[in-house]
Amino acid sequence: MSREKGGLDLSRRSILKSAAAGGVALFTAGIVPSARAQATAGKVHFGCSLPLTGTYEKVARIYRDGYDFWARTVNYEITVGGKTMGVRWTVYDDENNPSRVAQLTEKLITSDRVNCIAGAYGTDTNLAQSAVAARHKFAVIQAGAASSRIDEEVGGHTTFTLVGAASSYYLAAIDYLATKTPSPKTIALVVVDDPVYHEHAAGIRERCASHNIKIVAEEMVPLNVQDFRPTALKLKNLGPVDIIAAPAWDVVCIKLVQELSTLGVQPKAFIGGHLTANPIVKQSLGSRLQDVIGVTLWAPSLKYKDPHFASPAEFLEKFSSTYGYTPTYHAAMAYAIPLTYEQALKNADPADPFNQEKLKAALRALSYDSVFGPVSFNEKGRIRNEGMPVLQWFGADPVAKIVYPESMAEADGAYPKAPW
Amino acid sequence: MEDVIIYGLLRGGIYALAAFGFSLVLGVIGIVNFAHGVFVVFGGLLTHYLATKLGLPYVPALILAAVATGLLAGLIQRLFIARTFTSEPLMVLVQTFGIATVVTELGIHYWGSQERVLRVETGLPPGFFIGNTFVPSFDFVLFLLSLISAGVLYLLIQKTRFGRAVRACRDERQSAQLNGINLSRTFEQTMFVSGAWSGLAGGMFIALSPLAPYMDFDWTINSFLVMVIGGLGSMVGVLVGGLIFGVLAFASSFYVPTVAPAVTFSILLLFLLFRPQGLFGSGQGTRK
Repeated sequence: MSREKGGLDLSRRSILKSAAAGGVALFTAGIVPSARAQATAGKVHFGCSLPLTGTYEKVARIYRDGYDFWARTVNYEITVGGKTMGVRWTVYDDENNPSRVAQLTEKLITSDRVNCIAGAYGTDTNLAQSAVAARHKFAVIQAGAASSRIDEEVGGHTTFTLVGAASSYYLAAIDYLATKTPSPKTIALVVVDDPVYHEHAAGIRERCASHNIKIVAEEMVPLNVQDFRPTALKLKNLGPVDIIAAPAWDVVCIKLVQELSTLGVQPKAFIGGHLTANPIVKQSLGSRLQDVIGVTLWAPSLKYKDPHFASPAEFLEKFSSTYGYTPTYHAAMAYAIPLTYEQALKNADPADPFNQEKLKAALRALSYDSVFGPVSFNEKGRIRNEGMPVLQWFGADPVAKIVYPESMAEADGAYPKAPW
Repeated sequence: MEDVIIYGLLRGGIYALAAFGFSLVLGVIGIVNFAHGVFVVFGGLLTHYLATKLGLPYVPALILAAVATGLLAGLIQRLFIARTFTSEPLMVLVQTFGIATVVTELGIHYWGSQERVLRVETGLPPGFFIGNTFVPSFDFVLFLLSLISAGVLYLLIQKTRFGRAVRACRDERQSAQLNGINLSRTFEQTMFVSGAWSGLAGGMFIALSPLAPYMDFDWTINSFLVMVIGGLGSMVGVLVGGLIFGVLAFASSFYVPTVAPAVTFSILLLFLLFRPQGLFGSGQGTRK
């Protein structure tokens, strides 16, 4: 897929013209410039792969639209080392398959000759992508994997991560509930058997310990679980529990709320993961979403700005009117990837603007404000601005509002929650 | 334990409904239809589409989707399977696998691959208790509906001209032809019924749990397991097999969730080893 203004021109004439131009350039210059510089002359070529089909299709499309939105926002032109250059995107469908991601990343670098790589979605896919990128000494900016494995294996030297660590996702949610009176004493976790969700759970465990919230059950479910009735039944058989937390994605939240409400399991608080703001959750659950707690990396009410937008609200409004839907935080996160490249390339060496070692150094030194939040990286390439605001859904036609931290709160939280 | 059995039975009704068509097609046409799960998923997603996009009430959407799924199945029979079912069984197996892949990919392309669940506002009371187990009303209604559908199918097979033709084709194909039964037409009708009942199962399931195009193979395998447990050639066997499978699947997800599929398949292996004809099958000779 091409995201170039006017489309990717692959006509025979253009190929012949390019070949002729290249030959003349070689002949007249008498030297052979770097193949990458030659192939991408005049344009910054961004490339990535996303799971555009499969379980993560919906979120992948938000990422793709986020990239596209940035390109539209900058009018397909950015400044690189003081020179204005066009912008071009190549986005492939990797079907959430790490082998395919590796293959596509190789293609992006060696065949498509991209200058900048945006990360894949998911831990294993990002690790596969970064392994190939590292072999070619490329930098990767990603916002699709929160796992600490990224930090440990590729962080800082290859990969720069715009999303906070997985273990930090739910800390604020537990902190928030601990402020409530009477404070919750027990929690049951539903943990998806996958490394990143284990990390979510580890963070929750640690924070619960510090608030004296006892973990009374940890229900492990396989990644491809379809039926949550057995899990709901186990939770019902536990007896009253103050908090049920399902640190997982939107469909898990939907299934679990359906089953918990069907069986009449009534916790005082339900934490439904980091994708409760995905529209499918409200569409599927309707009023049963009321008082459900979620976490989000970003919300339109936050007080951020960047060179292109005065506020997250403005970003959201323009994004929504452009694509016809209200996105989750992933849109701002995806938009921030090319924006970060844009900032890092602004003062690049005009003689070799896409030198990857210099680009990585620029990323390490970078510090700027975006509508996604302040961006700077630690030594592991992880964004310094970690932590997720806590949101809660209110009303019969539920609307999400930030309830924690207090500095960002738009509403007082509801605890205990109303029955399903 | 009581709750595990009851909830398993409630799901089992839908599994049985999905497996009737699989068993029917294997018994009558003599093919293992690897595209069978596609019908379940198609029926479910079409029900969802009709209810959410066109605003149809649940029951009309369910019936329309079931009929449409039956037509899709009949079309597949006429265009593809009818031309190859007399070939090597492996050829038909590969063909139905190919059909499943094509339909699924087209479904993903035009429908999207995300999981969908249908919210049905029934106005029913939340439920009632059997012993200490709370039985959700809607689950129970769908369970009853699956039993009624099984009954209707039973009557269709036992009491109608179509049913007599189906049984004749199943028991002695050549004699059936000599008696003037149109084989192609009967097979198309069989495939229609298979698709319609599978679509009905999908439409009922999506009101309880999400469905997505990529789940078709799971449903094919589930239907196969139900048939192995219940036995080929027996509608009662499929019904009982579905209920047993429902309990087994629920119990394994309840007690050993992370290895639930391994447990379910172990049961399949045990059946194949010690009772290959299933609980109600009439002996290995019935397998074609």
